[in-house]
Amino acid sequence: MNAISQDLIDKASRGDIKAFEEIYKGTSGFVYNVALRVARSTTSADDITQDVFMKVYKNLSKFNYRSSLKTWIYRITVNTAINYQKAEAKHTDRRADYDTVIQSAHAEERVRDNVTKGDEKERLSLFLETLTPEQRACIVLKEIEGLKYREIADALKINVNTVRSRLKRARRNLLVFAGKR
Amino acid sequence: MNCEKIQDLLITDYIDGEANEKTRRMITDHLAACDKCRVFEKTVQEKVVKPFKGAQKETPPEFIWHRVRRGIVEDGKPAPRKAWFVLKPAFATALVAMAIFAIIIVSGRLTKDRNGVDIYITDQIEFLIEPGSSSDSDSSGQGLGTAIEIFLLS
Repeated sequence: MNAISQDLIDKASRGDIKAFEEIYKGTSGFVYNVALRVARSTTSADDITQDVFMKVYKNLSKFNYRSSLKTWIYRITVNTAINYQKAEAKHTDRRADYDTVIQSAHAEERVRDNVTKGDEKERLSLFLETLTPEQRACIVLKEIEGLKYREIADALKINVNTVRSRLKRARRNLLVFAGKR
Repeated sequence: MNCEKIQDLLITDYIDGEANEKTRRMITDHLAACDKCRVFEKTVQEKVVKPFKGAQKETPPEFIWHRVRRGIVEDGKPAPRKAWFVLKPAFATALVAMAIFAIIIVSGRLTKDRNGVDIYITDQIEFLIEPGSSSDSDSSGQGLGTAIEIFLLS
């Protein structure tokens, strides 16, 4: 993301759509990727991305420069994606525990199949399915977006040790499902 | 440091480049001497780090911007910027308290000054009615007023 100037942010916050489009172009990439990995479907990622940018547009005047614009937008994205996923789980009328157990069990079987088939992309997607939304968000921000622990902590409004412990648990889960050699 | 703590560091700070120089040296020294942790480190690289190395970043489809734009045009008015003089409640309360305090102090000064004004007025009145002054009554005490009035009226 190229640095977005304060001038551009001010213009967009006053309703300048062209200025907001520049912000969209500079940030939609990471918003979409985080939404896609946390929500695990392209349809959901489309809806989440649209929702995130509507929130950004409506609240840009309240952005107070205490964090960077990127951190602020990451935070909106992760919260929106996690809430979206939880709402979807409720709407399908399945208990979360049951859903997680079943999904994890299926994911485990599919991971083992795909380990032999060597489909890296599919395997990665299935790995992520075995994690909680919070763990998934940390892994995605670290592994795919390349953020440092401090940046992840700021984006998720948690402390660095919580980032560390979520990553540790997520990676231990990955080791279990991938099967240690 | 025991193997469990080393492995915790291997699976977090070490592979993420967050370990400081001292911690890195401690881990590499331990790996040089411990087969179990060396195998663990290799497994972590293979099963945890490598799968993400090739992770592709997707580009959002174009229609998303069109949807966002339409949403903005239809009903997405940005929240108005707060006026500079809109104060937070705590700050507003403090400002009001200071204003009241200032009013009390100023009115206290005015009261003092009012005494000074009263004294001045009293002095002037006394000066005006002082015996021998032109404002005094005539010797008969009939109170005809100033000397010129006495002259004109007698």
